[in-house]
Amino acid sequence: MSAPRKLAWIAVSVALLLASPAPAFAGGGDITPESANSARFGVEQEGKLLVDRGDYQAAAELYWREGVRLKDPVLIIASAEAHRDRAAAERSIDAARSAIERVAPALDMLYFSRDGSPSKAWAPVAAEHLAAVITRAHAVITDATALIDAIELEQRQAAEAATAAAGPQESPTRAPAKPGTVMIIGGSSALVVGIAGAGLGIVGLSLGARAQSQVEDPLVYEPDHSAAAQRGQTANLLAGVGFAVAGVGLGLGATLLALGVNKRKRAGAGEVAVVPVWNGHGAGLGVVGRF
Amino acid sequence: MKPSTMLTGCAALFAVLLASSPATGLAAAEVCDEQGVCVEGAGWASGQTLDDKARAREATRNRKGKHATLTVELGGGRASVFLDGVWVAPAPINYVPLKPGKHDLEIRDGQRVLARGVLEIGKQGGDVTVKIRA
Repeated sequence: MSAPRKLAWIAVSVALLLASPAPAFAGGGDITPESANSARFGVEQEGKLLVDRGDYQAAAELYWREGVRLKDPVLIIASAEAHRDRAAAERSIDAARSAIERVAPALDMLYFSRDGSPSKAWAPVAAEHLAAVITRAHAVITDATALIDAIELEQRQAAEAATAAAGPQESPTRAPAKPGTVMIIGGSSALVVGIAGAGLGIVGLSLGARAQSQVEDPLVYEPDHSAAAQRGQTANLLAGVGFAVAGVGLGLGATLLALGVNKRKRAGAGEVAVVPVWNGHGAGLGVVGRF
Repeated sequence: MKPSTMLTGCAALFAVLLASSPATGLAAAEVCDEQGVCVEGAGWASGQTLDDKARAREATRNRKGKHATLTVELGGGRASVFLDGVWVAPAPINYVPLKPGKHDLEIRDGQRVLARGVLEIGKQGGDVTVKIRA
């Protein structure tokens, strides 16, 4: 090859090399603000289409993936912004928290670029733009925090409205007992015991009378005579105990009932009354009212 | 000068040198600095950084050296790892390959610097672990 031709080839090669876009770090080249802008452009276009379609999640993932690959804080901030926008659109606290988490590595990069010792081989943001990009990153945190507060407030208000719509809940505690209730219940119980005692006494009397007739029968011989005598004694005991219980129970019951009814009457309840009862077989006193 | 005086002088000089030198030995044992940064498998000069010129010099000098690996563990919280002036990844990182020689390492959470210093990895490479206490 002649010398002028050789020179021409070299010139063409150099021109082609200069005209080709700088590799975006993945190929090992330096990251300058210009190369980062160039590499970011296509990703931002694609992400914008996704955001316009309302697919914030896909946009956030695209920005994040490419931001990490290109070591570009601007794309990482864009990812956080997409999460923030999803939080606003879907009223999602989780999305707002993702926005705050996602923006943190971008802030690390930006503060390192400003305050640390960054290599000239990695300068995705021009020094004069660092402050503006840091402000943009902090705005995501401010917005997402405000969104979390607003969404929590909305959720609280919705819960309160739902509770109010469901109506007042019945109180689980019972109303206090009316005056005299304990006495009336105690008196009634004592009356029941007294009546049972009276029944026992009557049964005892009846058995005793039958045993007595057998004992006095001249045709009843031993050992039936002794057995009848024994039954008579047991029946007498039963009758004695029964009538004693009846006396105490009826007396106590009537007293307590009367006191309870009086107490309730004095308290103005007036819902309990002692009334005479007659049902053709006998007569007595009955208590009518609500306990 | 008497030999005994000379010997005493040498010993004193040696002691002074030992006391004044930073902890940059290539010891494999774990070394911790006052910031709570513990390094194992490499020397650690806490607080120091390298400029691009020094980084390039180290890269050239060690380009044929055996690979070492870098692991950064966080005791709590979050941070990013920067190696030789470039963002690597959010911490923790595991077995990131790097050449022997000097590398400046910074670990930060936003404006808060958790670790900053220069790692000095021996020619033999090996695993280097940096632990940041919470």
